[in-house]
Amino acid sequence: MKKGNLGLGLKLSVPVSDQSNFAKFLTESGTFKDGDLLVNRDGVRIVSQNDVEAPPPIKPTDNQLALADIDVIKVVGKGNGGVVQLVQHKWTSQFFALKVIQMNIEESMRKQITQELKINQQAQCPYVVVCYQSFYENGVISIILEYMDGGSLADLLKKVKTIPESYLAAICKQVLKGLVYLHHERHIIHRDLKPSNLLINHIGEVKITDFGVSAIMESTSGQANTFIGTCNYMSPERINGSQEGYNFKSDIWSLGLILLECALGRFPYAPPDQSETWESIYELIEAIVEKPPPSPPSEQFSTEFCSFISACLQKDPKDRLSAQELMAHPFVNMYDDLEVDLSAYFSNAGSPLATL
Amino acid sequence: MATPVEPPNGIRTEGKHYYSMWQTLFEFDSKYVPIKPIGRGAYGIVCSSVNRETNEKVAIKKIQNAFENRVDALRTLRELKLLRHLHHENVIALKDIMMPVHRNSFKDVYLVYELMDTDLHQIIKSSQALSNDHCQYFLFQLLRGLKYLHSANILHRDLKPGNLLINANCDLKICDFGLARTNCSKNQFMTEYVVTRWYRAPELLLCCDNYGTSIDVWSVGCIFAELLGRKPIFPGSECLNQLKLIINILGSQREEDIEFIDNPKAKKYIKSLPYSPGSPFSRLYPNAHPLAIDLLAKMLVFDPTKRISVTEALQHPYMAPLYDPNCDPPAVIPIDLDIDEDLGEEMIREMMWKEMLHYHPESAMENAGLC
Repeated sequence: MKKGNLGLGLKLSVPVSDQSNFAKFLTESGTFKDGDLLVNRDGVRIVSQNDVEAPPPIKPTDNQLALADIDVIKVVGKGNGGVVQLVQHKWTSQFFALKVIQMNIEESMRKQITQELKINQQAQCPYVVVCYQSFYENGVISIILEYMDGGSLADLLKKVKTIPESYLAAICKQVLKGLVYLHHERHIIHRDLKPSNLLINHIGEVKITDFGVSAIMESTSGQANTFIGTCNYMSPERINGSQEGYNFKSDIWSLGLILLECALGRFPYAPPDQSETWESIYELIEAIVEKPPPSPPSEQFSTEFCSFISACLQKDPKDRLSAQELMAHPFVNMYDDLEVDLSAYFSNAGSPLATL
Repeated sequence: MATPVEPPNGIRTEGKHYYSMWQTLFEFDSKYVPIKPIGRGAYGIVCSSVNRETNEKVAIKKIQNAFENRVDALRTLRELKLLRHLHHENVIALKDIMMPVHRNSFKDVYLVYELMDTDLHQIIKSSQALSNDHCQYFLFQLLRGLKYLHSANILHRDLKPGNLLINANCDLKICDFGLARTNCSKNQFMTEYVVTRWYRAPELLLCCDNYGTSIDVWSVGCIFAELLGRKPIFPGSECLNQLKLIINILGSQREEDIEFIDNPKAKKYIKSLPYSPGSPFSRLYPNAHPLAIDLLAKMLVFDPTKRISVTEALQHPYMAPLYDPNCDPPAVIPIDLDIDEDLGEEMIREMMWKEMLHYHPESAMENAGLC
């Protein structure tokens, strides 16, 4: 039987690739200034000798960033479903993080995602990583984010193993302020709080990231992910799949586990019988759903810390405190008089700073 | 779109020429002239090209820093070894692998495939109308290609619409064999994830150690449903949610239908899910052909031991207008695809080089002379 005969005369209209996207991608330069810049194929900037003043730094609201104006320096991580690169803007020399997520999304979904990223772009809070701009081209979403030169809390934990209570309180306060903003001002649930989504920098700031991306990942196919990774920090009610699972309090559970992990130096739930790893995800979720929540040993930690963790790790979300309520908890403020210096702590831990 | 550029370091290599696309440098064999970039992702960048010696259009995939990540490198090597042996109308052909200049230190790999116009994911999400004939023909080709693979003892393990390439005349070819494995009976625990989440069979989600060709059939069922409904049938946000979506549509499973789950805690979890009456496929896809609904229901069976096989699916009445068993020979021999998971970078590179020699017999002779 000849190959052609099987075709039954069927035809498809092959979706036409958008030609203008390529031209736009290759030539767009949002920071072009007539007469001041000479742009060749390498994007080299030649400024007249009279121009001594450096270009002003780019603000999130400028909306002038273009991928063509960015130089990739190196890959700094593989984030939530994508690769994260350190990039530098050609004109301003500003550093950014460029998150590239491969996903072929439905056209209607694309608008929703772009809108969501746009909303996140308006997130003006010092405790949330700034999203400057996002692009969708040929199956790839590129998100230009604020660069946090200290990496993530997960990176820090790999170096220091445990974090003393006083520093934990200072970190906790910043994360809580971020959650107060997300939950109470923006009414956004993060959904994927974990150490690798809490970024730090050399001036001692801690910022929440990937809160928009989490929702995107839930809406689209994204990258396949590991089993354990997605459920470690998931609250009991989310695992059980009740309607109450999607609730601001889920993020509070995740926060409690993160802080306890930082204090103990290991993920708070331990595999049974002292084995090295979980046999499967179902051992872990059984522990989360059916056993009492983990708690810090009271002989090693302050009463206030133990109380704070307990307030976060209530299995019933109704019993969990909100971010706003937790801000008033004694643990959050008990070290204020000590002038805790996160900047020195992060720097001394050997966090990699941006270098060329 | 493809800009000719000077070679890096100003050193031109005989037989190569250089192009820049999407801020990426391409080092092509001289016989390939690029047309335009057509895609990019975590793996690398793909561009369409013309082979000047044959006037044939091809797709060239550049895998940048191929050895940077060992898991990805093994995946690439596995695909190369597999595709060299696979020859079927419904399986993508790997036509060439370009020889790098430096045998012991090359970092990038350039793969040359036959060029297809688009993929099934693009078709599904487009406004293109798909008739029952379209669905039937796509499904038929997918099953036929899969039957060939399974007869060679190969599990694809990552079937999804994006991995099914399509031409304007509706030819379909299966691609991306990076996760493929032989269906061996060894009880090795596979720690790497298998199958993109939405197309993952229940036995994978429930951590069953011994799975077989039926995981590919489940993926085909999901793809078939997506053709009928023009959107994914089980778009789970993570693996627990994935299971819930499946149970919501198939309904809660009877005791005898979860006997296959050998992990007691996984079985316990499935039992703990709220009761669901399920939702008939005829209600989900009211315009679908009744025979299509019947076949779909036989594919999306929770218990893999009760799921229809590829051969049985081809023999289903829905496939009767297209399937002729006499025109469907199996693969000649089972393929040994086992690669030592502990290979180091140098050995992976060496093995990849050897794969390249199969496409360049002249280089193999040169190397033999050097020995």
